Amino acid sequence: MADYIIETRELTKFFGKRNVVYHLDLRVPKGVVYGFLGPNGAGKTTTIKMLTGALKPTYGDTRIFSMEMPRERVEIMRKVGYMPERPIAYEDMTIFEFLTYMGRLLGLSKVEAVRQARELMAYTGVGRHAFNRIKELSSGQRQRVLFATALLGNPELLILDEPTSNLDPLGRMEFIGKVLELAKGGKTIFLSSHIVSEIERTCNYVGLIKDGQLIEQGRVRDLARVEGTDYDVLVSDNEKLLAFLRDKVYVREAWEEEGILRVKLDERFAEEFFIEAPAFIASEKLALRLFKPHTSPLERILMKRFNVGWKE
Amino acid sequence: MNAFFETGFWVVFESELRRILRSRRFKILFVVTLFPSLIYLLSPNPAGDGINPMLKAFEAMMLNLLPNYWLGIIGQLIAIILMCDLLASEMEGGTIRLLLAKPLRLSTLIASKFLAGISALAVLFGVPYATVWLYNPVVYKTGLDGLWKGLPDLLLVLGVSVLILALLGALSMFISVIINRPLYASLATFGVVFILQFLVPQIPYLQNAERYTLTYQTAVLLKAGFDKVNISSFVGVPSHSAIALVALTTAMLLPAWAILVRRDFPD
Repeated sequence: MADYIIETRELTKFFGKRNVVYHLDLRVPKGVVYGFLGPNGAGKTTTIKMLTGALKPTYGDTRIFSMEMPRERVEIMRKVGYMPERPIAYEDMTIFEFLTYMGRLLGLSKVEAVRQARELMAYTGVGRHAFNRIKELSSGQRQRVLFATALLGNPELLILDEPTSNLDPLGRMEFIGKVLELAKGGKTIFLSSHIVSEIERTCNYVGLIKDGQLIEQGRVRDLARVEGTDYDVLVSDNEKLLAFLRDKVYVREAWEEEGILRVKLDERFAEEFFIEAPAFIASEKLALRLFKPHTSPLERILMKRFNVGWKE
Repeated sequence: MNAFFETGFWVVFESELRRILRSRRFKILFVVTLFPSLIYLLSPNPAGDGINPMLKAFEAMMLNLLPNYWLGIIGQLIAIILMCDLLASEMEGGTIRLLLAKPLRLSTLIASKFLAGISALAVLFGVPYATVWLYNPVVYKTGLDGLWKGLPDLLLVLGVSVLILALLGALSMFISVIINRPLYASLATFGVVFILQFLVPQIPYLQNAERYTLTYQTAVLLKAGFDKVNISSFVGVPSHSAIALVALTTAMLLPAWAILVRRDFPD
């Protein structure tokens, strides 16, 4: 049990009569990047607010670092960095002031808080605006400031709620790089998002939440056993391959779409496709440029579990 | 001692006090509290030189202005506006969630914010009082001796103000943890204070109900040190009033803390 950094049992939250989170059993092992994935309104932020003490669960237990959540909040929070889903901060403070204040609340000395604030402003790319007031910043810049806040004091566990929602595409890529870097450094990262590709690139562990209930949880590679039946192929002569595949028993449908061959397989004979198609390509001396499932593993899990083609 | 400056209490206190003192709102409120002192500077009316006339003038002025202006409706409104903002703005803006994710106890948060607010109020009201205190020896030609002799009265006035404002501040904090919008919390607090002070004395079944108003208690507290003016018509013992005020202040802060610990912050 002790290997779980975050562990909840039957975590449930009602707002009045409305049920937002129901019997959630989260298990976040040490050292993983945990992607908490679900559509808007599924209860991700409510769960995170319960993990960080802003909401009290209606019932259920939460243990973080094997300590009980609302009761031992002060002890737990010494080792947790939190980034809220909304860029909330003291509008009248400068970035530098804000980070120093937040650092000192962690118990850092003034000198140390100033040093870390400087370092993290440079790391998250807001150093140029160090002495601008927070109200003068764009929402993307605020998000960077809050990311820096979460990293203060070098916490063991990072809880990041929709950390990239206000970032531009480049900012997102930069952010993903930083998360991977932090994960290599041995931190446990709990990250919520509704963007599949983002979770896919950063996380090695996922929890899927829908209507307040956890519907799947585990290592991505364990969950991804669901085989795809939809393949993308690109060779130097698509026409030739298409003609070859058209009347095969294992192919349900094959067509060319934007220069790429799309092949829908019959699950029962899919093995034959993986043997015959490459053999044909080799014998005809076609150059193979692309041969991959049309959807990513996580997308397949989602489509299977959510029964829709939901993705973003 | 160094360790104290690294506690959550001091960090919140320092940051909060600094933010209040440099806010625009504080500067506007400062103009309001400073106003009577400036008028006083323009129209001094010395009834002869010396320390005794000076003290008498200071006490007479305070006995008039404290209940009617500084700790009257205007001063009370100022204290409420300032103190309601401390917790309510954190809850309205959601920043309390950042504080909850830090190793900071809510009791520490309330205590440090309360004391920061009271300190700001002490500056807000202390500077106008001190202005009069510094100016009087010039008008009454008492020299530095006048400053020294006038100091006890100044400290008493400041102490009385802090006691009264602390109770208002505690009530403001209590109401602002229930109504977490600064504006509505201020209005609600002012409503409560208004009802208690202006309507309760009208109730015919209560004997001497007017004695329980803050303005009346201000005069009672001033009896502790004011001997140059006649305030014996105000019934009450200053030390009893002071103890009652401190007890009431604590009695307001404790439920405020209890509510804060139990409530959700969904924003």
